[in-house]
Amino acid sequence: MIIRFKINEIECEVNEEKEEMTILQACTANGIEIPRFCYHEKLTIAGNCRMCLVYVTNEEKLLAACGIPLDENFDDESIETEIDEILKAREGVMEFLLINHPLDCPICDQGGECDLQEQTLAYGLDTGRFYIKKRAVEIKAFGRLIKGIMTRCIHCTRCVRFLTEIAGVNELGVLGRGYNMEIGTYKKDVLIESELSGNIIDLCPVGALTSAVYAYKGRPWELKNVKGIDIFDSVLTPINYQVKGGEIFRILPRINDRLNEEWITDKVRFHYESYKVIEKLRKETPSYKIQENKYMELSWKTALKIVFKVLLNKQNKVDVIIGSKINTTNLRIYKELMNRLGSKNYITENGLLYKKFNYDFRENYLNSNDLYTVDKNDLVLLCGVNLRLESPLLNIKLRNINFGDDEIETVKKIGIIGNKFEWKDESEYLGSTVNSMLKLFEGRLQYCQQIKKSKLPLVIIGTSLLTRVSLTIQEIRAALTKVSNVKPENVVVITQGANFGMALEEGVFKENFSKGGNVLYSIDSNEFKISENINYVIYQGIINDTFENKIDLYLPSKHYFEDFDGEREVYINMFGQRSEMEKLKISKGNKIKENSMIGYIQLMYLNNKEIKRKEKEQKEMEIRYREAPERKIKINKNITINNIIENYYMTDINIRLSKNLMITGQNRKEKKIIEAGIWKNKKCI
Amino acid sequence: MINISKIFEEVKVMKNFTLNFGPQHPAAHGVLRLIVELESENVVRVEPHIGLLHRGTEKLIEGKTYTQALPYFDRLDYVSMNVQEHAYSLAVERLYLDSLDIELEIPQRAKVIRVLFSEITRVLNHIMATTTHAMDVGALTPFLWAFEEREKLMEFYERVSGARMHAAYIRPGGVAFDLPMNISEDIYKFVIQYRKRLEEIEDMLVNNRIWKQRLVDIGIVSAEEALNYGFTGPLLRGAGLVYDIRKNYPYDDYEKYDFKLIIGEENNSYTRFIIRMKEMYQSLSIIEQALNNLRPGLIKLEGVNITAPDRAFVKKDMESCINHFKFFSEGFIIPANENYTIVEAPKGEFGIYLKANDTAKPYRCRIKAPGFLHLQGLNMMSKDHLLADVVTLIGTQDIVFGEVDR
Amino acid sequence: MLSRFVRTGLNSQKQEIGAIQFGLRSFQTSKPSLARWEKEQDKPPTFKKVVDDAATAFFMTEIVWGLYITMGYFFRKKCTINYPFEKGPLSPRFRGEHALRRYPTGEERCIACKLCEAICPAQAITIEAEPRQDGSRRTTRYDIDMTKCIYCGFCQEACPVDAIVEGPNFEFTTETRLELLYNKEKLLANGDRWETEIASNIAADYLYR
Repeated sequence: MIIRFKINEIECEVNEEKEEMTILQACTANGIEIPRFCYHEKLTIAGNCRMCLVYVTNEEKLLAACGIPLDENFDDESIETEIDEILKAREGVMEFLLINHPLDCPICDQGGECDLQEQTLAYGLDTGRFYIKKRAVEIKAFGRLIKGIMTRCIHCTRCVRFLTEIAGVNELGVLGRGYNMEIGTYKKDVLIESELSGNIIDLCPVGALTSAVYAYKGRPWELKNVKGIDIFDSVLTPINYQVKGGEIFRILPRINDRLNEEWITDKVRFHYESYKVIEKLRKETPSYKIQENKYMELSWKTALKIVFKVLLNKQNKVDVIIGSKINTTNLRIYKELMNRLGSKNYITENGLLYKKFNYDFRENYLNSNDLYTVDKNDLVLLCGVNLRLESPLLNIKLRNINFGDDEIETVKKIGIIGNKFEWKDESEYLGSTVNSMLKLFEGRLQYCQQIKKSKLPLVIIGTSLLTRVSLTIQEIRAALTKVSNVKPENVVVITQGANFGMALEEGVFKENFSKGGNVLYSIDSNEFKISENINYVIYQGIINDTFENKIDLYLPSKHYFEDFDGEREVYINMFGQRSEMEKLKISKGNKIKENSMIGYIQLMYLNNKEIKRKEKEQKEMEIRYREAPERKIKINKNITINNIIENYYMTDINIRLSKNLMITGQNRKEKKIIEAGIWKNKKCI
Repeated sequence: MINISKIFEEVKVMKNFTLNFGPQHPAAHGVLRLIVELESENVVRVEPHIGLLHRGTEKLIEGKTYTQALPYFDRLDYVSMNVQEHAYSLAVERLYLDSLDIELEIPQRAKVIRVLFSEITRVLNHIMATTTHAMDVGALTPFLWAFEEREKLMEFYERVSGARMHAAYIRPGGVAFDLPMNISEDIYKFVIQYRKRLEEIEDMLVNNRIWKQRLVDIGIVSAEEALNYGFTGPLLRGAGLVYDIRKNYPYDDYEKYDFKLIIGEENNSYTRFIIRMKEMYQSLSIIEQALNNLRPGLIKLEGVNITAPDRAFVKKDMESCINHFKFFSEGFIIPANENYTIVEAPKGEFGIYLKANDTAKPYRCRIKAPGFLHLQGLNMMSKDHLLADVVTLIGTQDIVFGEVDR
Repeated sequence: MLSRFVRTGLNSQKQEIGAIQFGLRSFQTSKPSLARWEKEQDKPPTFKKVVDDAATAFFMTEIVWGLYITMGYFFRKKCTINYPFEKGPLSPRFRGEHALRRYPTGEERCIACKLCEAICPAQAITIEAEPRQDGSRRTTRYDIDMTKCIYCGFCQEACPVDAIVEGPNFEFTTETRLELLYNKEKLLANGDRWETEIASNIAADYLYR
């Protein structure tokens, strides 16, 4: 039914069946601002800060607008938000919140972007009346990433709700009551073991939870925003680099309702420390290995002569492996270059993981279902994927599954094949070998009946499965649709690598990429092992720590966010959505600026127009589902499907060189705080 | 036969002599470049070229918050500092207080201190104007005697704000700091002995025949011409028009002070000189009345966004700490509004057009300086005068380049 | 809005003879009977006046009187100060060379809150901050460009801990411009050198701030 009411003499109506709204949501929809601390759009309602009070006619007390739903009781009521009683109430609530708040504004990192400061200016008093002693709370150690100065906490419980509901770890809780209320972990020195733990820094309205990596470095009014992309997984969440004077101070999320809402992972939030370390360690000129550990500097001309000599020599078989961060224009340039030099043996480093991949059809690497409507699915199969480590932001979405209303339901709604990682109560473990996978396809598992009963099941397949089985995704999809009522759109494949989708669009992939060559040309890719036949390694990139001195020729290049002409660059994620990135200049070496490999090649060997013509022809990503052709395959049944990511914090060199993230990774591995740094258990600052 | 002499007739053309009364000149007050077209010592045309002191004040103010923009106003007319700060503070206060629901006025003591310092500034300026004018014309000694008095006044500036010239003392919301101990007595002592100094200067100049020959009948401007050119201040009052913003559009309780306006009959340089000398006496009487009006009280509005909280409270009190932080980092936001505020500067009518949008920085601040309009009339005033009179005219118009060029 | 503050009509001058209309404002001309300096046209010249004027013309009385006054100044006490040995008076509020102060225990006061950098109208202060070894919040770089600084004293008013102050020193001329770009060490050294005087200035003035 339609409910009619008035807000500040403006008439509004709400259709109760279509959307359920609270008073606060109705007010913001009509442009009326109501202050709040504990209410957040993505979290459940708490209603404990009492700042959102409004006056509803014929009610004795003022109501908290965040928690009052607009239902039939509300018909024909009128809501007031600007009368004197409410202004007084807001002043009172602010005064109470500030009674025990320490005078930390000059030393607090949140100064300048603090909700408490802004609401005091707008709704609070001008001087206080409280001159007695304030209460204080010990500093809590939450690890090397988050600083918890809990004296400043106003107990809005946003962090508690986030970690429980969205991140899924129940580590923070509310202890005590009233004057002695504290928010913390129950035992001392317990870490927050979540890959999304950095988001409580954004959520906290005061300076209680702040970033320990960004501690004391900057103020929000002096930082400028540059758009960027999270290239550590293939979801490509949009981020903002906050930059001052050519240096990254911190990284914040950009809001995108479909992909990440407002959250970003820890990896991308704290990895920017590595850029300073890289500036010191990297070399700026091409260098050639003379002996072990001795490198000679060359000019670009001689270095490129050596490269082309090696590549054009017909006795050499060249393996070209392209890194996962290279952007699309550069991918095209490298592909053109390799084509002209006569070798088509190129692949991205993520493509190495797949045993059999058919990149002719888009359905093999892009998905049309971006898990935005997971609330309609009522069963999920996770095959060979560890969503929590591979893309934590998609893991959040799984919590919205329609778990059903039956209380006596004993069958679980999530089935896992592969490593167990989470979902202990809600999931059914189906096995860890390829054998169980095959049984699923043939319908021999008991769980298959459950799949048939469900209305809209969802299957998520990961790379851990596809590395061990030489099946294409088309074939897996065909097998699943035959067995059960899974629709082809609801089979989602999680790929790795930021540019994997774009590389396959451009055709930078070789099936049966044999690593039998004797020359390795690695373009900014570090995450694989060099095979034994290789006797000559050319590395073009920024810095390398996995090849262990085997590099024979080193060619420097720029970071992925500076290595293009023009201002914007576009990447495509595994759902076919485009993410834009702006140019960010932080490299300081002069020689890198002048002589970039890309620039040189473009000048000498390629025509820019050819590449630009291709840009115009790009259309929208159409994904059509076809039937797979039949073929005979040999599958080893006894291989266990282990995770491809063993340690979340070791996947990329930028993370390995960030001290805080590395130590957090070690702490997580050994499950205790080895090095908490300077924020451990201090009584005062 | 062709008459060759007729073909090659010489035609003599007389051109006027163009002189560059250059930007570096002891008699050009500041950087004034005048192109003077002379016909053997008679001035035909005078063309001022300005812009040599242009510092981009109005554009720079657009990038600064309201508090940060205050020091710009000291440096516009750099011989009368507090008057321009007064104008800016009034402009910001009017914009802010208009946006509130309640009627607020700045406290009584703040108004009295502002009037006191405005009149001290008027004395400062008139000393500078008359005696440097005298020095340009040729009388070198009153300049030296009067500047010692200026030193004493600048000592008052320094005692109350910390800087001798550019004080940043009169702020939106009131005044920055309270008067220190014993300053009222010292100001009173100054006032008493200054009357004697003024008499000495007058004895030197007023009845002096050389002075009168140099100044009377130079730069006569009729009332209609003065209004057409936009003159204000002594230039207008010398023509017989009764126009002083302190009387016509009073601000800060000026209507409670008892002072007379000096009106002249014939608007020549001598009249204007006398007007300035006599205005100094009136200013001294206003200073005495202001000293009598001082009562204990607040010196700035408290509890509003436009003033910073007191230091003692900032260290004790959470709300004051927050307000202090926000005042000095973000500034205060004034809702969208626009206003034109005028003030009786010693040189004339000084106006500020201030436009606010809902941000912490002014959207546009346009400064109307009296010297700019006076300089426009230099050409008209110097017709049929001699070259030496141009110097007299520049002095009598009281040009200071900081406000002409901004 | 302007009408609230505009009062038409005059308060004191009531003698009106004629009026000139110019635009929206009307000015009133007054009889020239106020404070005219000389010119008594209406009275016919008396014998005394004729003799006085002739004597003034021949004997240059007013010029001689002027010379007498100047001669009087010759014998008065001069107002010149013998500069390097005598200096002009200064108040405790004087704004001079900047200094960074310390607590009596020796700990530096500045906590890198960056309020002084935000309020400086000339953007003369540059600050970079980092946590120190013991976890406290301190600056690694605190530069004041004394050639940009306008000595307005806003940084001193903004500082919540009285770390940056404008001391009483005004004699800090240098021979090169580079020396006037002060860094943190120079400012701290200044503070150590001038601390006694700065502390006594603050003690004399803190009730007014």
